[in-house]
Amino acid sequence: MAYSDKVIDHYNNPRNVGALSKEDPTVGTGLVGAPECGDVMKLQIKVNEQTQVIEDAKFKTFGCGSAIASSSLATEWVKGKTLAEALSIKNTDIVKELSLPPVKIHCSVLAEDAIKAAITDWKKKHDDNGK
Amino acid sequence: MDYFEVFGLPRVLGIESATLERAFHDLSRKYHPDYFTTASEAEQAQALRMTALLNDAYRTLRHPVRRVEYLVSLEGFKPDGSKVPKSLLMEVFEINEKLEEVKTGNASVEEIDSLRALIHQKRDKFDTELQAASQEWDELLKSGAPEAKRKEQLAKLTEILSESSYIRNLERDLEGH
Repeated sequence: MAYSDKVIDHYNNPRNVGALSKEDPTVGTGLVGAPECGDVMKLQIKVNEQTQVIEDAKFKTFGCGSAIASSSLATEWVKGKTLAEALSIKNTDIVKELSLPPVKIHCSVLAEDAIKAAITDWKKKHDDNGK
Repeated sequence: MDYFEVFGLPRVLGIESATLERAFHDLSRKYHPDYFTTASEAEQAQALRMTALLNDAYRTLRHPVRRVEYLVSLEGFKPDGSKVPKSLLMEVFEINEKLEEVKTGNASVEEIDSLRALIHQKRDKFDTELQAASQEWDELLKSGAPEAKRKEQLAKLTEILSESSYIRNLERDLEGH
């Protein structure tokens, strides 16, 4: 199976690889996995508390090229977006952008789940702080 | 015809490998295309289909883990990532990070050995769990347990498979290194 040029580009030059401090209250961390293939993906967002804009995003994925490309693209897309906008990113958008074949669709699902998990984590931190 | 039916078996998980191998050889002979050279085209095609099915069935059923994977998918169960405990994911992530150090040559022999021991220990734990759950399934099947009980057991088997897939992946990665 051949990877699309965009997948290869993200795989060879992944954007935003790395980590943000999990303890930082402005950082939300999403950790998700796909039991079908054993891939694990960590996606982190740094959110401006006033504007709710995602100012930075980092990821680290252990998995196939499509999983790495999906999460790399996800970090690119969420940066500069508000939490509400980021929540509207669908896995099908990632599939389209990267031309993922049907057997790799679960990689895009994983990336969408990771964005949602990171946002949930951030919101949880803020609910607690508000109390 | 499912893989169990190919071998005339109920959907059991405890299958003796010697028994399966013998049945495989017997059936391979029975369907061997050489015996069908004078048969009709339809019969030849059928024998060929059976041979292919038999090979797939044997490859799947002889492997204790693949056998369980096949059973649960046959019964309509799918691995579900959301059911995997977060603590396991975190642990898998950390092991992956260590594994990356091994791959980039930044780990000592001792570190690689302890990583290998850790992965094997986890794999063994899952194997033991899977084996026990497989036996429970066979007992439920034999005693004609109600469907709800069987479904519960299939869900349990699927959960163990989901969790162990991460460890198997790590193991493959480590050995492939």
